[in-house]
Formats: sequence, C-alpha cells, structure tokens
Amino acid sequence: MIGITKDQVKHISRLSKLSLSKDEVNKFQKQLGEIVEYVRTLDLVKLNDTAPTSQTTELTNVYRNDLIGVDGLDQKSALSGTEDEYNGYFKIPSVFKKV
Amino acid sequence: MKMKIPKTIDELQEGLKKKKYSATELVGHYIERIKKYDKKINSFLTVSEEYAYSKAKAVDKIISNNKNSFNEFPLLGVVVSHKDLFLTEGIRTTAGSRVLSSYVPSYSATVCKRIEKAGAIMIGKVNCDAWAHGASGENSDFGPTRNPWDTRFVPGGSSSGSAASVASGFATFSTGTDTGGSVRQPASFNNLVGLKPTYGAVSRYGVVAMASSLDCVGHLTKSVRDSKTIFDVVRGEDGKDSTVVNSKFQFPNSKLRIGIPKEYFEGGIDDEVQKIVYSAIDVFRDAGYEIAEISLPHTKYGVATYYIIQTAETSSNLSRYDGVRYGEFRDKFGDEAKRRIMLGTYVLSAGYYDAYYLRAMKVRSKIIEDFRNVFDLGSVDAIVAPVSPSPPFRLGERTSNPLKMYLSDILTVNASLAGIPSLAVPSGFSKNGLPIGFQIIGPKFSEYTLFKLGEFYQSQNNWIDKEPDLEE
Repeated sequence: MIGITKDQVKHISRLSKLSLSKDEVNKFQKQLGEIVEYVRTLDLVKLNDTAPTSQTTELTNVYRNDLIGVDGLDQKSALSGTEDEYNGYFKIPSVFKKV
Repeated sequence: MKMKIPKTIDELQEGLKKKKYSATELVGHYIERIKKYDKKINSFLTVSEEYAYSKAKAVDKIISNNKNSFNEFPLLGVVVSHKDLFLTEGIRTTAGSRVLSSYVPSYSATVCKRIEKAGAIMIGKVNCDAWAHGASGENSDFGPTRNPWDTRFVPGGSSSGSAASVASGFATFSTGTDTGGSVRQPASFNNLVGLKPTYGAVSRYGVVAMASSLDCVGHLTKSVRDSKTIFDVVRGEDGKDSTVVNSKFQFPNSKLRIGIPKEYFEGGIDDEVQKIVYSAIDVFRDAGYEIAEISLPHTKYGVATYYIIQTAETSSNLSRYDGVRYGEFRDKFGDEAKRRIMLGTYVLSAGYYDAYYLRAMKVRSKIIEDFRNVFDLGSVDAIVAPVSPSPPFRLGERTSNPLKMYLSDILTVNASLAGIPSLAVPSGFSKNGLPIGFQIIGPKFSEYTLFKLGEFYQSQNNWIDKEPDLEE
C-alpha cells in the first residue's frame, strides 16, 4: 500500500493554494491515494537509459520578431475582466498584514 | 415553418443556393429547436441568438450580392457551436467552471476567428466538463449534459455539449478540444465524426489551457468530408501558438496498409464494441485494404502516464486563476479540478518528481517508440481501433470513483501522448440503441490519409442518416 497521508494532502493543498475542509481532506486522501497507487504501475516498465519526452513537436526555440502593439489588448480591454481596478491598475488582495 | 435540419455542410449550402431557406430562416429554425429540446439535453451554456441573427443577415447579403461567394467562404452559412473553452470576444466563456462564470473575453480564439472568417455563424457556447476534465460531461459546474440518444446516459466528455449539440441538430458542427480523448470519445458516443489533429497542426491561441504538451483543438461533425473542410479552414500557423508549424502533410498512397493493435481489443473491452469495430475492419478488408495485426506493447501504461503528465501540466496552467485579473477566487474550483491540481502538484513536488513525473516522461518515450515501430518499421499507414472500451455509460455510474472514470480514456490517451492524429468515425449502435465508433490513428500530419479512409468507410454505410428522437 503506497497511498498518501492526510498530512501530505494538507501539504499539497497548501502548495496549490486550495483550502480544504476536514471532510474534503478525508475524501481526497482516499481518492488521490487510489490514483497514486494505480500510477505506480509505471514502476513495472523497463526503462534503462530511455530519454524523457516533454513535448512532441521536435521544435526548439521558436522565435518571432519582438514587435510592440501588434494585435495586443489596450488597457481598457485588458482590465475588462476585473471588477476591482484603481487608476488603470488591477487591485489585488494585500500580501502583507498591517501591524 | 417545418424544416429538415441539414446534416452536412454541402446539404446546408445546397439549400441556401437553391433558396429553400435563407440563412436567417435557418438560424431561426436552429434557435427554435434549441429552445424546444435543449432543456432535457443541457448542451448550451449561452445561446448567442442576437449575434447569430446579425451574422445570418450578413450571410444573406453576401449570398445575394455574389453568386460565387460559396467558393470564397467555404463555411458560408454553416451554423457552429463552440465548446465553452474557446474564447469568444464579447460572449461569456466559462470553461464549464464557476471560476469563470462571469468572464467575458476581450478577444477570440484563432480557431473561432478563422471559422467566422470562412462564413460560419456561431449560435452559442456549449457545455463541457469544467476545464475539460472528464470523460462524461458530468464534471461541468453547470449541470451534466445528457446523451440525446438516451438521456439516461452520458454524452461522453469533455466535449459533451459539442457532441450533444450536433447530434441533436442544434448546430451543423462544433469545436472541441482533445487532450486525452475529449473530442473522439464524445463523437463516438453520439454517432459523430471527431478529429483530434496532430499536436501542432491547429493553433490553441485563445483556448483555455489544460495540459499544454497534449492539448489539441479539434471538431465534431456528421461527415468525414465536413471534418476535412473545417480542418482546411482552421489549420496552420497564426504566429500566436509557437507549437504550430505549417507542416508538410502526408497524402495518402494508393494502397494503404491498416494495422490492428491487439492490445486495443484485450482486457475489459466490451463485446459489442469489439464486434462493431471488427465489422468496420471487415469493410476495409473486403475493399482490398491490407490488414495487419500489430502490437503496441506499452498501451496498458497509457492511462498512468497520462494522469501524471496531464495533471502536472494542469496544476501549472490552473495556477493562473487567482481571481485578480478576471474570474472568481480559487475556492470556486470543483472537486475534479481540485483533484487534478493536487495530484499534479504532488507528482512535481520535491522528493516525488523522479518517481512520478520524470518516470512518466520516459514511459511517454516508450509509447512514442511503439507507434514509430509500426508506422516506420512495420510500414503500416494507419491503425484502426475502438475509441472507448464501452458504449455510453449511465449518468452517475462512474462519478464516485475518479480512477474508474480515468480508465475510460484507456484507448485514446496513447495517441495524445504521442502527438499523433486520430479520427473517430461512427460505426453502428449497441443493442440498446447507443452509438459506437472506431478511431483511425496515423503518424504525424497524416490527417488526409485518415480522411480518405474515413470517407471511404462512410461511403459504405448510412449510419449518419440515423437521428436521435428528441420527442420521447
């Protein structure tokens, strides 16, 4: 049994910026544990010196000319998705607490 | 006015040319059908009625001004629904998730723009599993879509609304995305043709990203011929997706050799599915195509490899949803998104990277090697195999067991991992009257070979003439 512990679930939820209730921790521990156990079937594959594949296009370093303003969004449309703006800026939740 | 819904682009445009109906009347008819029947199917998240009528008027004007307009605009008057993963300027785009429930994009996806420029009329945005995570359509935060062939069953996923909207006659074709089978499986569950192109053939610009080394933009149609017409419109560089190249496509040989992978018929593949796919293979054999049994020995590792790589990439892509620039905060993510984000974070985290992610990337190389062996060394031009291990399943049957749901992808993920194209083609019905399809897989940029084989198969039967009864 490989599985995954409750503490691991809490740890990865923190890394993922997801807050979980106690019930969710229990549910995801079971479900993720089963999946993790299943994916370990890859341990059976003989790999020796097989190189990893991260993408399949066989392309490297695709460049374009660095041109400004071609087809870009203007400030108004860039801000159109938020309800919280100030002076043409995105308003974000504060990072530091006031002391 | 009672009007027969055209099945194909040719049929639809023939009606416009002969003035059986105007584009405006056509749109009116589609809207009427959606209003009447979509309550029980739940395929649309947004019906863009006003937009569709204004486009239809423009199309009618083009037709009356210029007799040759159909040559200039290959999709003129064709009614399309877009999966709600495709950004559409000024029209809400949700990705099936509450996180984006009020998001209105300020630009459109390349594919949507190209389809519009070719003369098509967007009628609305269709439901999908949230963030394209799912094989049943049940992970949508806006309620599941139902299979129009029998509403007790799932339409497949994640392009659930795409498939259901075309099968129900609410649109002539629909766009979809296929990361691990999300176009092919719903196509197969709805008596439709579904294309997953070669990775890098079609731009993903403006499409909500799931797993970037796997995501492909495809489409669902009734005929293979339509699939080809649309592919010709959408493919090719746009300068905005660096994986897309104007590649040299392979064109079919006169004598094609078809491989049948034994691993796609073993271990838990439903009897009816096997029987129907074997009879499709017979159609090719009887016509003189050479059929060869082949082996893709790493097939059984596909799902495990896929659910490591895909979740790793998903966790990274979904990290951008922080509720600042657009959308809601992360507490609005549904369970499946949470599972995938956490699983992806886990396989990438310190101490686990080598055992999971790196290992999966190596097994991915093995899976690619399997395909190379049969295409290059085995001199097979295409592979024919089932799409789904079972016919459509019942709503709720797999929702409580995520692993079981993941295993639904067992026959589609390998082509995704290898970045090669696959075309799902309808091939009959189960005893319960539910559609079953097969897929034709080819090497990179062999889409036209797949179309040739698919068109030949469709010329030998009339499965696409069957329609679901929405009155029931």
